[in-house]
Amino acid sequence: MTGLIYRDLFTYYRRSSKSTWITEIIVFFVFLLVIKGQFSVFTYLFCVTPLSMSGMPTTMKEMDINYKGAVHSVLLPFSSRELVLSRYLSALLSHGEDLALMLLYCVVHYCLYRQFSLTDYFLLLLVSWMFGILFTAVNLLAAYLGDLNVTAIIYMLIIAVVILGYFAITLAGIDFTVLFTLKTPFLLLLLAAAAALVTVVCYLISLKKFSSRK
Amino acid sequence: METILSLQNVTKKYKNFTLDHVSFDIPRGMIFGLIGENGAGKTTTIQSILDLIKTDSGTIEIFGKDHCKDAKEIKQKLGVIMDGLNQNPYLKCGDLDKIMGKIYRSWDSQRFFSYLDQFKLPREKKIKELSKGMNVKLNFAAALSYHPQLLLLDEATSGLDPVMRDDILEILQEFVTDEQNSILMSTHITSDLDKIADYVLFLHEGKLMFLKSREALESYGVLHCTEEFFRALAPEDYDAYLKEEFSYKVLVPDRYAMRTHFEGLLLDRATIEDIMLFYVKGVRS
Repeated sequence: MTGLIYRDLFTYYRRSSKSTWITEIIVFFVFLLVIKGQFSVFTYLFCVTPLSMSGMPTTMKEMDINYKGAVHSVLLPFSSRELVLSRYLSALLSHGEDLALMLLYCVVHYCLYRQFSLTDYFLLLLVSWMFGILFTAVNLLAAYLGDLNVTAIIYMLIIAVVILGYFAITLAGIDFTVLFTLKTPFLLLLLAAAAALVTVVCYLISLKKFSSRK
Repeated sequence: METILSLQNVTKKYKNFTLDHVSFDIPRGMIFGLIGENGAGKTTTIQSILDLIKTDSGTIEIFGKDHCKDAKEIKQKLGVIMDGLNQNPYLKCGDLDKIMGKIYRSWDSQRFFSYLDQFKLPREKKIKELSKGMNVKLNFAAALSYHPQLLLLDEATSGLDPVMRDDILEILQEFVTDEQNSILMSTHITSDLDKIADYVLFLHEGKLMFLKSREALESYGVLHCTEEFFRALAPEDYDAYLKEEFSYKVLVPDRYAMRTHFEGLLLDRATIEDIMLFYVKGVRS
């Protein structure tokens, strides 16, 4: 199955154009140097990166449609379970790049502005990643259940909901720093459990759908 | 001879089409051609073998194993090239080596790159920049580089020019020379089968019309005769006939015997295409 994961990550890397990398770098510096303060941290960690890290399923779906990738995969020497599981694992492993960027962002932001304590930065990073996992799982499910349009629409909806939700919370005057006053281990555990549960459920539904494709 | 692929009574029902109890065995070391008009069931047969569709009844065994239960093991030794099914367009030709090497246990990098050189496929070229013919060549390079024992080709040579097709046919003949490997090749280019097929399977409206050896096919002839001569023939003398305005065209299974009995006949050798046309459009005896 490592071959399948390697294939997915490698093709995803090949699919990414220079403009994608340049955009990511620009966004990183804009939120680090241009937009400053709490707003910058929360927007970058709760909006930008979770959405960025959950985009792989849609890209892979688009590629699969373009070159009959699903048929190609079925012809490879792997079981249905391995094919679906590898796509889930690839999507989660692709978070690595965004996690690295988030970590770098938090460290540099802390060094420059010391907005929060390092522990709080780390807490925000973990919460952001949990959201990234949740969105990724939903996008993966959409890719297995629907065609390219459905997958793209679901991804756009997630983006819209996250952005609108974020601004609604901000406009309502709810301060994100309330997160630090909550019992953080409990909050993290709860989020991690929710992310894991949603991912497992999405995987099982995807596998069922994929296995009944014939 | 050991059987490499066996289909027994394979049936698949669609609303307007039924693949009807198709049975045949392919031994090792043979090239089998699969012919038939559009919608005859060739692709359905190949999709059934590949487990891309669920059959309603019948059994399919590859390398003596069930094609569903042992699919994973079977696919390590099964090469598939289908028209329109190309590699990921965002990859470069050379990238396939890195990916396939992690997927197939017997992937042979040296062989792959030697095919790339032979087919003049640049390693650094993106697949989306390749022509249709080059894509077909790349598919052959990839499929042959993990030492498959059975090749399933579905209209695989359709994008190639005659020269390249001839090269590919040569490679396919080499592939079966060790008498361990076999090929099932579905194609509309019946002249390819005239050159290399050991046996030809003919599907018509979902049914297997015949399975004939190259020797049997080579003895077929097309007789051009008058109505009077045609009326004198016994039904067992011919397989099918086509009535033309002033004459008859008759498909005879043994043109040598026919020539022995009747001298001075206008009797041509029948190609696979001729035989197929007689079976589909002609009146059978």
